[in-house]
Amino acid sequence: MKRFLYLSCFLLFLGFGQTAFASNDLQSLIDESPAGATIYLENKSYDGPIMITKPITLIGKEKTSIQSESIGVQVVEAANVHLQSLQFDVLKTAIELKNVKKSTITNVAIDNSNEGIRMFNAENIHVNGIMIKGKSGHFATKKNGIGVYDSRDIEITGTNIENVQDGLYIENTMDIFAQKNIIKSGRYGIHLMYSDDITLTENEISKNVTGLMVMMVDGITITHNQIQKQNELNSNGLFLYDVKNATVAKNELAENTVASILQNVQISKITNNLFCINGTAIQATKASEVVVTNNTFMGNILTARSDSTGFHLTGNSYDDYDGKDYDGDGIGDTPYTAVKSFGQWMVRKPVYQYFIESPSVVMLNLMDQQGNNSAPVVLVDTKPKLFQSSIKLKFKLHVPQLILGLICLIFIVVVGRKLS
Amino acid sequence: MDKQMIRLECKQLVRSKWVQIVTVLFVVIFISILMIQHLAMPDVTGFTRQSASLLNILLFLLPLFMLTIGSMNIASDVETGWFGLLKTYPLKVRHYTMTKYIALCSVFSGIVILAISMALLIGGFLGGIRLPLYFVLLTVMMIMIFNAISLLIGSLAKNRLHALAIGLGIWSLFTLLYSYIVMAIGTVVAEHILRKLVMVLMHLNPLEWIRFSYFLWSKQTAVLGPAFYDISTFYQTLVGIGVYMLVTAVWIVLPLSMTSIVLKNRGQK
Repeated sequence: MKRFLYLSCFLLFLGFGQTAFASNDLQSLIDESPAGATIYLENKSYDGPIMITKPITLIGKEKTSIQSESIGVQVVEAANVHLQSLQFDVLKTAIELKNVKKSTITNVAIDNSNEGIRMFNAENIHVNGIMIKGKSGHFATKKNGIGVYDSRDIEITGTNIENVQDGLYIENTMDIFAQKNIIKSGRYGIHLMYSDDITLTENEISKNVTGLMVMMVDGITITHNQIQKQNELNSNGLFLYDVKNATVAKNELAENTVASILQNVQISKITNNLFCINGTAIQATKASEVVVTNNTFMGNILTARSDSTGFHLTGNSYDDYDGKDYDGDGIGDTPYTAVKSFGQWMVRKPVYQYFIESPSVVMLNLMDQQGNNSAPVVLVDTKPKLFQSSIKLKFKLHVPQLILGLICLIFIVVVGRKLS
Repeated sequence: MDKQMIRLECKQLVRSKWVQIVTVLFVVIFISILMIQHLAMPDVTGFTRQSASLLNILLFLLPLFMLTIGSMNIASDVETGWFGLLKTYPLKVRHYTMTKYIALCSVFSGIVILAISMALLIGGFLGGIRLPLYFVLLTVMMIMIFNAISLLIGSLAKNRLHALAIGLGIWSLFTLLYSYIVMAIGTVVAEHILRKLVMVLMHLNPLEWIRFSYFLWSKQTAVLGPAFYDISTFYQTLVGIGVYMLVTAVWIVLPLSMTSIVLKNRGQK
């Protein structure tokens, strides 16, 4: 009987051993495959961490997932590694690349990981179609969606990132191209530090503390992005700090507490953007070399505020410009003064923000406008374009409102007649 | 309180040319701004220059109308001897004050309802306008507070002209001078002192209180800046809501009680 029991236990142990071996078979499969092989994964869950050190292509199916309590897939000292159609259910980092070249990560979903993808010393990497959903909770307890460190020639496109600390965190990297990424509900949508030659285009950045945080960067092009609804306390759409040679063009910055903050920015151009319904459109300090031209400012509470050096404001169109164009050249005949005393006070003492657009400040701004017409100051656009009004009358019935309005009106008329 | 008396007061107010002009002015401006916001701006929920304009219309015009009309109304009663005549009847001063108060609140509520209904009616043909409920409630709160203050001003005034002068003075103090004084103080004191000062003074100016309420109710306190994060958070707690209701009640009850006391004393003299 005892022998039978021992034998049963032994067989049971063997059975478990085989199961564990089977769940780890991806690592074995990779190890056994020759360099450059393509491995088609099944519709099942594989155990991580997986280590890749040679050229290989992993292609998953609809429900292929990798589970791990640490890192999901780690690629080290390799080139031509391609990860495609995988789902990750890992505690720490889903994918880590170290010293990797010419590789791609495509169509990957990462849920509830502490960190999505991170790469160190990577070169010529293309990340496309990644879905990253971070854990719930404060972003201080989480890490980044995609972190890139000391790398070059990185392309990140079509990703959808939410609930992480920084959607894209890029540090000390050259040649970054980010396009059509949707990043929301994080600390910074895209965070760039000590990096050069960057292109950010057609991204949708919303509901972060800061949409784009660009620090110590030389050479950046930000075009056709939608930077919206960074409207919490201390929020802003675009923050350029210690930046050189930046071009910010054809973006839409809407519903941000401050649409753009420029600090210590040199030789840069902000052009053809739409600044719409922001608290402050542009706030600048030490940005006298910045040219802001051909932009449209609409519905912002404050158009611009700056230190005494200001920045170049020319050829923009402002919805609060009340000048005339008697010669019909589309340029207003009188200058537009963006600077307002109140805006300048807010720069010096942020407590003054309490009074923003209060009746007293509205009066003050009106008086300011009259006064500034005769006194040239910073933030004056001498060639303001006439604002093209976008009022469109479209008849469309809203029956509930119509009925409610009618009932209220009849009630008031009846009561009024009885009293008069 | 006699319903007949309230009705009589309402009748007199509605027939007043001043009130009629004020009604037309308010309705036209209110609808214009609401329509501009609706037609020219994308549909947004945040604090925009247009929503600020709408709020400022309420903060500028309604208190002006209420303070002048309400104060002159009660001063007129005293000046013409109507109040003296009423006192020969078994009518308590408290009841008289409440009658005036309810009548004024009703008429101004009527003006606001008229403006809103016209806006809804026009907006109904243009796809519907966005008029948040908190905006309507804020208006009701404003009507209740400023009509109470207007009665106090009227009770203190010697005649209608005096009431008008005090009313305009108080209005300019609440809307403009008060803020300018605080801003001017801010230029000579440290920022943390200014912050505390603003927080205290926000409770002492009903207009600032209503403006703060707007941000609080619309959940847009971020507009006020980081310096006011703590107080905004406090007023969203249960204790804070209690304090908020208390402060609001004080701004209604205190002027009404003082009006009754002043009128009583004047009657005895």
